[in-house]
Amino acid sequence: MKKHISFQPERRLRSALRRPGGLTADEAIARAKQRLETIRDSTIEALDAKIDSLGVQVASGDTVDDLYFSASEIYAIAGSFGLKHVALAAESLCDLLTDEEMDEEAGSVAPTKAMVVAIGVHVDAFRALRALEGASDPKASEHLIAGLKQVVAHTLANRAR
Amino acid sequence: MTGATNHQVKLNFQSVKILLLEQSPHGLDILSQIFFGFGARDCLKATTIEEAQRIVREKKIDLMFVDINLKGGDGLDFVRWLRRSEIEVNQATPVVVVSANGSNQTVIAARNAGASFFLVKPLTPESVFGRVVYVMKDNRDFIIAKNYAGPDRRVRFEGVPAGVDPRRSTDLTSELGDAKEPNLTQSDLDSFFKPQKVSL
Repeated sequence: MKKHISFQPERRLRSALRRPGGLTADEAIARAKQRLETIRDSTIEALDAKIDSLGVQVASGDTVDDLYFSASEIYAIAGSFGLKHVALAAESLCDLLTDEEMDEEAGSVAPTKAMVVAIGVHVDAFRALRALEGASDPKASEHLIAGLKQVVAHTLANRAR
Repeated sequence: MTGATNHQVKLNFQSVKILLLEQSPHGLDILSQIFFGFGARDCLKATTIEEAQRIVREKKIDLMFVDINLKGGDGLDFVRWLRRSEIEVNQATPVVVVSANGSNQTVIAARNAGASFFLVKPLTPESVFGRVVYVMKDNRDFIIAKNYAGPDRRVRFEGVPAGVDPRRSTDLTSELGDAKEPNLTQSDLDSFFKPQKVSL
């Protein structure tokens, strides 16, 4: 007796994409970049608001999972708009909020005091990195990112003890 | 740009119907603007699994982009539901799962949920276009079995299907937990979904 069904599905996407007309990869990508530029200012404004709201989230007792959601949103927006150092700082915050030693329950409660301090450091760093965006010398931004990694490593090491 | 993309071939997105499931309104804006730039006219947006399910019941969709990280839910729950839904026109529609977390564990969970491909954030026009080309070239059979429904994933054994207890201590489970390792590179991710059958 056959244990599974296997079939070739209809390839509607392929048929639609191969219709006459359309754009080459270079044309499509260039136009998509132009479209992204039309929402750059409003989205980056929202990114700044999201950074400001991290502190409010912590104060109002939001869970680690909620904070991770915000951090990953900052990461995704910053990355899509080329804010490299802000994206790296957000990645560092995500690392803090998804540590491998953390059990599943830890995501559904408010962060520990040590984590709150580390989150605050990240919020300050986000603001500094936004101010440094476009600076000709990236050293200050790189230095900040290196510092954030140390903060995360220190916070997680102390929790593991 | 992915090496798999032929820059001279034209793709016509005008009639492609796309469903985007993403909790963040800004994430939805980014993705929809990318697709509009490609020439798409019909991007349906959902911020919850329930909204996405309603759209899938009512419309014929050609391509779906689903974020794993939904508040109060998991995008992979939607993928599993879709693959078991028996909604004939959409059950086998290609699904690209997107996530900021590209760890081995997350990618395997996406594949076992029935995802067609995986794309790690941040999303850019280049990465999204490259993934659509991958999806377009995908020739895998669609499988419906007791413990799995989705594109044929017989590339190599990476773990037991959802709901089945592992038999060996080295078996991976399909449960999605916290990340235990760094993100995979996009080429590593692609190797999990590469349509190469093995002899069984």
